[in-house]
Amino acid sequence: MLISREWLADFVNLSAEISDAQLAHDLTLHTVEVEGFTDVSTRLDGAIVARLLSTKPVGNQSEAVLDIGDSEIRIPFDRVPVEVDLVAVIKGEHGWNIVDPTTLGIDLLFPKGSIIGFRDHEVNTKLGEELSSVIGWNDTVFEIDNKSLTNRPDLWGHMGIARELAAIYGLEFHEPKRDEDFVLPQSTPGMIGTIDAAKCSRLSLIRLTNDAQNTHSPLIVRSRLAKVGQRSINLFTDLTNYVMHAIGQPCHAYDATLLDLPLSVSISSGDSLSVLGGKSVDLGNQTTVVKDRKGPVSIAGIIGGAASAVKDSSRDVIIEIGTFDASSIRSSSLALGLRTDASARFEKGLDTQLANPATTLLLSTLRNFDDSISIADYSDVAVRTTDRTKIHTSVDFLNSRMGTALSGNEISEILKPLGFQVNQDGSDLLVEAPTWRSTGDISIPNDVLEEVARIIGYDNLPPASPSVILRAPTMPPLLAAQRRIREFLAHDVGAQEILTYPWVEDRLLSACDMDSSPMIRIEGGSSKDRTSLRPSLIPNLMGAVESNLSNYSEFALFEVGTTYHKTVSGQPGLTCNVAAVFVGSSQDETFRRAVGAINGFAISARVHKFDLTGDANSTAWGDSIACRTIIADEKVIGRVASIDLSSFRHTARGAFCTAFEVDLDQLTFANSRSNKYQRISTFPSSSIDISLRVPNDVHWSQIANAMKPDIENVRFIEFIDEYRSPEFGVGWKSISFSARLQSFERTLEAADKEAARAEIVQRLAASIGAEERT
Amino acid sequence: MIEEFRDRLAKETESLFRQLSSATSADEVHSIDSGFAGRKGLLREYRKQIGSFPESDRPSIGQLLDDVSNTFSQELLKALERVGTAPRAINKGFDPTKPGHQFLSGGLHPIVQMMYDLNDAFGKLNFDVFSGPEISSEQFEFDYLNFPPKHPARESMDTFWLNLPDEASSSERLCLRPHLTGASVRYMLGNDPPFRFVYPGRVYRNETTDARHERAFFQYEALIVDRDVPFSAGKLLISTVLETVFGRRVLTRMRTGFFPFVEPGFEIDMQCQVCGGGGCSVCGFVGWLEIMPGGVPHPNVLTAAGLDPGEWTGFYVNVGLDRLVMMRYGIDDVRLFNGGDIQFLEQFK
Repeated sequence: MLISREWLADFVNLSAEISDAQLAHDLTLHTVEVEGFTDVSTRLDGAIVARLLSTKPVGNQSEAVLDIGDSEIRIPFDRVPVEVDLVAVIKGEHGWNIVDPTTLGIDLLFPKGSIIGFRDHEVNTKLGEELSSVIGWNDTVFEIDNKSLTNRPDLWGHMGIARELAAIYGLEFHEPKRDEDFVLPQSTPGMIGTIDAAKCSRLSLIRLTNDAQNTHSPLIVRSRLAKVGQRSINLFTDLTNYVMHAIGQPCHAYDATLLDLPLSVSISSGDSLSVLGGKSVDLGNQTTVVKDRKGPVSIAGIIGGAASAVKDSSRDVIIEIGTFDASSIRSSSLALGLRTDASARFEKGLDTQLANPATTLLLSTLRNFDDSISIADYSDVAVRTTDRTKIHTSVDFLNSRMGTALSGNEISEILKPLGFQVNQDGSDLLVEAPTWRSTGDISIPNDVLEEVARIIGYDNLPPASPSVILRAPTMPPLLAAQRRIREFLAHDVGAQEILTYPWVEDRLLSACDMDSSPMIRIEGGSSKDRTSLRPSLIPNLMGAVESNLSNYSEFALFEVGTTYHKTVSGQPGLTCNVAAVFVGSSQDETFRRAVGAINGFAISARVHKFDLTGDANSTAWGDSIACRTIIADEKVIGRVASIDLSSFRHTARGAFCTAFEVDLDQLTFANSRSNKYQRISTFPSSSIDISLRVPNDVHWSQIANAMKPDIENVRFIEFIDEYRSPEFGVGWKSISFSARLQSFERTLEAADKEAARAEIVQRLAASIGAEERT
Repeated sequence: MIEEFRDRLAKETESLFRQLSSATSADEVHSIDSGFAGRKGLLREYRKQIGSFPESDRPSIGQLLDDVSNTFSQELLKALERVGTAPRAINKGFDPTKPGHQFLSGGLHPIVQMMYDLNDAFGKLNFDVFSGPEISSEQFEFDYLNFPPKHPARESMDTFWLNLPDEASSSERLCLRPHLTGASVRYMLGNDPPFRFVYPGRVYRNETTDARHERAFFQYEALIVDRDVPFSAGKLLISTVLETVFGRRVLTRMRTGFFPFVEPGFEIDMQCQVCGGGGCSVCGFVGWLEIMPGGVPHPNVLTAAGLDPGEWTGFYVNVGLDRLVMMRYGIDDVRLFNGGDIQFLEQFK
């Protein structure tokens, strides 16, 4: 919302000593956020007013002769000005020019393609005077953040902002005063019919007749409207907009000759209405409308109908000033997809009394600027009036929350300029809010607290620190484990953490062999193919693999996040998973990196050691052979598997990928470290390397398992390499490993090592048909 | 006996030292070394004799042999240097300017890093850490938080509702949580006051993305609830957040703001860190940046959490972590956080 400082002066006399920056700062800290302010005069720099003396042809062109006060100037001129005595001119590099409103950015006030011109009676000026002064643009316009006005129905016009500034600076506030000579006629029956009391609290209709042929509103009206971003439309529409921006009360103008009175307020009954702008709106059965005898003529509080709209030619006009139900306006606006300046104000909840200053301003504006317009008829029906909200609170409550020691009188003095009345009985306070704050904005003691505190200024309240009862802060074990797992995967495994969306693209689900039909879905979403909530972290991780393969050939990514599943009851079930993908040039290497990460993971997560088994429960997303099931405490908690990259979009050749995913909710995390001490030998250890020729289908796990029961002096064996070559024969390969030997009784001799080697080879020959390579 | 041992040792070592001082080749020096320190050398022979001395003499004899051994090592080095083959621990041609080895190093997501930094900071202030579910109900996310029945935030254009039966009641109507505040009620319902806790997490809004807006983003919320919490106590939360992020004190201001779940509500601005408050394009030339909302829990929220609002009060702050991280590092596009691009993410270790 835009606010003109010059316009504010109608309501509060702000000293020039209060700079624009100070005003913006104070308004921001005490009331609403000022997002910025602009000195609008600067765009008119150099433009002055000149009298158009004559136009005459010069060769093939025309020339205008103008008086700028101290001299005459001549300007090439290709248009014939109509009904203009004065025009704006500006001196450029190549001499004087007629001002183009678009170039100066004031085409809201003077239409694009026109000239900036006036009749003598419109302005009181001297030739050569600055244009900004003539049109009232020596002004600063403040931009208020509409979000900060959400709860303040009283601030949607200059009057409300002025009232706040008066309170902040301790100045007098002036509400529009009715000219005592200017009396409204008695309320006339027959103008207003039935009013649905649930939808409309008050309806005022003022019938005006325009005896002259005036079609334009006064310059000050048009100028002020332009400064706050409102284009001039016609006399009566401009007047209604002027009242709305000044007072915050939306009004609507009908061409009375196009109405079949009386006007009523009711719920629509399946009608449709062509509204201003030409759009045809299906009103349904829930929309509040203003009707005449023939049907709806406007959508109440939102927009008028096109058929009854005022035009330049309208001479008999009805101005509607209503107070419509906020929730009905909000619902209708949302349902119809129609959000207007009027609906934005009504849906905040307007005070029925606001119609009074609105009527006063409307009529005084007409009286001041155009005496050819007279009031033909008037009707005002108030079904209900807004009462002042009464709140019981106490001095002690307010002081304890603010950390202050204010007296009841001091509190009263702070609240009074805002329209509140305070009655004190000891520490108890009965606070009466003004009607313009009594439509829901002020309703509880905390609201009073806010009023006092914001006027003092939150930053001016005395500092305080909360007291703390010391005890060990708690953190759910899963959250603590998540951090350890993240740090392990990042710093020990070398994987990069990523965050992906909770929804997943259908294409990635398909590439991972996942059927999207049983998944939890969201309404809306960025596109129709991204409405499934991820049942696994793997598909989105693979999406990230796709994009990173163009820059990296070897990398690892991981994510810790929620996955979503439909439970038996159809309700969503959530699990916290961790998943990682390993990409490189070797399937074997990526798989072993993944398995290595899983083994270390259990330690960092502080859970029991994982077992990897080769059961038949393959993943949807992974290879059915190159996979292992991850077991913890005899429960399946996840899978590790190679992923065929040919199902995904990428251009990298020779890349391989392995992924694992673990359900963290299945794990039981130890509160502390669970390492066990094992006695160490004081005698040196040694190792022997063994290479075996084994059948191709032999797995390392068979070799590892063959070391049970323990072989004397063999602590453990470690895989070194697997090698395939024709020299081993068809269906055979070589596996090399080392055995770590150590005794608790003595230093091992060569004979001990040979004995261990012989036992290992013999066991493997018997169990898997291995032959030692020499 | 010990004197005789010492004299004999002195004579024999002196002979070796003389040989070292007159040696002319490395082979000769190594041969002398072998005769002293080798498996059958002089030193080993003398050490074998230690056991024949009374136990009380053995330490001094051991020390004597160590001294002789050290002296021999120094003479040996001198001899090797003299014959031109002194071993050097450091190669004279060593190039110290070679690049270091690249360790395979991943990293935490920068927003997660920030979350843990804040958890650490609030942990020191005795705050619990809590986490609520990402799928929540209309009841927890709106009803309990004092959102009016027709509030626009309840509409599907703002909130991601789950595609479940329409007839669901508000406790059954489910959505991806649009903010964290609903989790505060869950925590309060399950614990006894007073409370000091933080609850970070991701939230989801159905809006168009651009460089400044995301559908999925991180929030960090902190809440104090106690019997007597003046507004200014909330500044502790604010300064904790900002000093953790920027590593120094940051000037802030509190101004009035409106959110349904707080009354009074605040907006907290921080002085623009780019211009120092003088005004620049980043802060719209006002010198301040809106950084976090906060406020006193609305009595209806406290009631929903099972607390008597006449007895309990408190202070919330809610921070958009994405935005803070952007300011911490000067990141100009929020969408990078969810893009999974290593080129971007690996910059933040």
